[in-house]
Amino acid sequence: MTGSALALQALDLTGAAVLVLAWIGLIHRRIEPLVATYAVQSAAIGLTAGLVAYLYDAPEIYLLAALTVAVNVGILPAVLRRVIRSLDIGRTIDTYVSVRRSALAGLGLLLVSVLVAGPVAPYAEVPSAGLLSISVAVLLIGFFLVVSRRKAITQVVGLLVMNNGILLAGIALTYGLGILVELGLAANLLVLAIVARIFLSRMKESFDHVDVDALRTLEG
Amino acid sequence: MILSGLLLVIGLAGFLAASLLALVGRSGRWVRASLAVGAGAAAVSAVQALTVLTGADLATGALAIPGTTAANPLVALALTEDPLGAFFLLVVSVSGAAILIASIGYIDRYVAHGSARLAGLLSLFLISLLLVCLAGTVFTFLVAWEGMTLLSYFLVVHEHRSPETRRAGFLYLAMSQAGTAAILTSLLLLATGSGTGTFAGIARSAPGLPVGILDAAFVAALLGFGMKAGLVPLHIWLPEAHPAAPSNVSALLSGVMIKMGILGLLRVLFELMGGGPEWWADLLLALGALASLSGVLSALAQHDLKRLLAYHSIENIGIILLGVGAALLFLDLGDPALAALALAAALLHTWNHALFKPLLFLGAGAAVGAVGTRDMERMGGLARRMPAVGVGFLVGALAISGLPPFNGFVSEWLLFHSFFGAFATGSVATEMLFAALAGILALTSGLAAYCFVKAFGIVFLGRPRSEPAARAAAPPGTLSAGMGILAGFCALLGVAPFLALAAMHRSLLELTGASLGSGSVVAFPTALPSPGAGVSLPFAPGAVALLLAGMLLVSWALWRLRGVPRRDTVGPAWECGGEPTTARAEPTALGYAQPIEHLFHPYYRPRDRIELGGSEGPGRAGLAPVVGFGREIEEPVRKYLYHPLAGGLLGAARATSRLQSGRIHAYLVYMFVTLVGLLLLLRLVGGGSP
Repeated sequence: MTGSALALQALDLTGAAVLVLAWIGLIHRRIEPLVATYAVQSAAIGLTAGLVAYLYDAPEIYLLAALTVAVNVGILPAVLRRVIRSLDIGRTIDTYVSVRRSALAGLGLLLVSVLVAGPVAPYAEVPSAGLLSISVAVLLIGFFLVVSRRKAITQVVGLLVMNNGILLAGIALTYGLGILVELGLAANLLVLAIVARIFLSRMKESFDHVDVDALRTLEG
Repeated sequence: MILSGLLLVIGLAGFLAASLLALVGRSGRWVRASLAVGAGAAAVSAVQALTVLTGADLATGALAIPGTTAANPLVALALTEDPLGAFFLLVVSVSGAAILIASIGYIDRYVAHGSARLAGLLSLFLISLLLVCLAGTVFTFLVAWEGMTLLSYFLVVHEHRSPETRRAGFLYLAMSQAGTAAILTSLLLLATGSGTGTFAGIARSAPGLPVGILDAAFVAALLGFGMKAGLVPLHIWLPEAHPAAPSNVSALLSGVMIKMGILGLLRVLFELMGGGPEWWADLLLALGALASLSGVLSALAQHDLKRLLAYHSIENIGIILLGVGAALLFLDLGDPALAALALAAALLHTWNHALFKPLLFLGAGAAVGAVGTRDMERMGGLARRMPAVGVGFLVGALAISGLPPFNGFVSEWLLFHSFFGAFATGSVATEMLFAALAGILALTSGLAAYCFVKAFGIVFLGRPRSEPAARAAAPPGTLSAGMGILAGFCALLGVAPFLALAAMHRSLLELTGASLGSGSVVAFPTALPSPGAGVSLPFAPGAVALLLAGMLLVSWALWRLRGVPRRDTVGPAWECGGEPTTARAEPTALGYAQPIEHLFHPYYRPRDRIELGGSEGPGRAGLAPVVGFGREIEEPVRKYLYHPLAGGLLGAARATSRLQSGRIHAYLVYMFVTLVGLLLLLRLVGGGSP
């Protein structure tokens, strides 16, 4: 078995890992393991990027992989943990949709993304088992996390998961969206983390909790 | 050009000064001065219109407003001096001057509060009317149009303390906004590809547009301008808003403002599009027939004097529209002379209505103000209490009923003639169409006459039906003077209609390519000009007037010679030996209209309310005496078009507001569902493999 064949198989594996980790994110009942899952998923994406870089001999993708690991695995989870600890948010994830149904919905979303991304998969540059479908599924699952969880902190994590899906789609389609775009994305994530931190602390001050149910003043 | 520009500036400055006088001065004297200055400015505008109409150097005249030739030609502001606009300016300013003069007395006597605001708004409103007439670009027109709509809204809700008025005002404003949207659509559609926003530029390019765009622009224009003109079934704001306003405002709205809808329709149909296919004309004729007949039928059933007059405005707009539609059809059939005749009838009726409707509304205002109610059943005998108003109202009633020697007769007569003219040229289908239309027009005039016998008879003749009517005081002299001016014009245009035809000569030439006669005043002092071969107009209004005057003279002489007692004599009462006759013995408005209501029962579908009394008496359950009777009539369009429409709109709005929970989460869910739904839709609709 040559190195590149092995790398292709490994790519399938990491892709599957990203998907499964996104789904696992849906069945957590506590916040800290959710953050940890996110970190692991980000690491899997970093690994995917590294494999793509190796397979197609694209050195700038190594940079992308390193950036992903540094920001998504290192900095963001650390920031989230600090927020959770300092704001005393509580350990449980309050949901609108029960965990069991969330898991089923995750499977449904996977089905949707296979249906949607299947026809366009041949256009992807990376010929791996449905990386594109996986990235759409991760995007949708991230979105589902945003809409189905009560606490603002889980919504932030959902946004980050969505972002991972976009990252993966970029890798699958074009070996990365271009290094400048990636840099911009990473910077965005950092800003998001900072804004989320400030926002959550203000919300905590005002309402003494971070349940988005309190945000109803938009009512017209 | 220079003279008329100067007069325009003087007129505008006069109106502005008038509104400032009222709004700053605030007291009664300042208000009176403001109205007088406004009337003067209106007179100056009338002179300006005359200089344009008789001037040699027009049709190219355009007054760019300094500093507004914007980079985007669509938003350039410019006024124009074209014959059609000048004709309408003449109409507006003559009636406007008379109404402002009448307003001096009216506001003084009958407007309890906010008289300064009312007077100031009146002058501003006249500015907006003037600008609508003179607008030379789409943008100017729309700005003036919106100004007119908003100012008229504030005038309508002047008595805003009554919830009924506020409701009427809201209905008017809402419908006007929808109408303006339609007008904007129409004008922008026509401006596509012209590269300019001036009417002259659009007129060059618009006829070459694709048929679909022209059709869409026509329908939008009909909706928008029809809304303002009170076209059935877009008229329902009119019988609410016009009675709710003070009577001098009603006079201005009903007499003048709704004519701006006609002006807009003429501009779009004839000036910008240069005519259209036959179905446009057929649609206009059908709508005109519907409006005239349903307007007069609804008017007959009204016992609120001002509502009655408002419904007659709808009827008259229908008559004008009949002329416009006939002109369009004749142009399409290739007979410009006949088209000019029909359009002349429409324009003349436009002016006529702008004269006799304010006259009637001012008379009604005096009656309503003196008696304190709009209910005709409480009036009566007012001709004795306010003779000048009675004579003025009688002149208006005769004119609107189309009786010589007043102006209403001439325009309806011209319209009939254009209909009969179709027999010389048209196919069998056209002949049948115009035979039917002539029948409808005749029925409309007859019913209008019936209705005004009721209005004049119940309000001004007989005995007073209520205590306030018996004590009614004559209105101030200025109100009578304003009515006198309008009545004078009604008689003048009835006896010498060629004056009006001379004023519209250039408009007819421009819009139809033909005209009646040469346009000079002296060429046809007694008989009306003949529009072309095959159509003769055997009518000399001056001679008719002379004949009528002679008949009056002879009757008077006979009356004197026959020795009819000139003084009342006292004789035995011949009243069945009972008490002297009281107002209860008089016919009521309800009873008078009853035969017509019975005849047109399917149209009215009245809901009668009969109050029985004394049914508790022993053994008399089935024989309870009737102690009260009321009748409610709702217009069919209201029941079958507007109620479902408004209900649907409100329901949709309520359903939408349920979506707006105000929770961030809900919005996120919407986004999520939309995203997934769109993805699936893409998959299903976009097909399988790419």
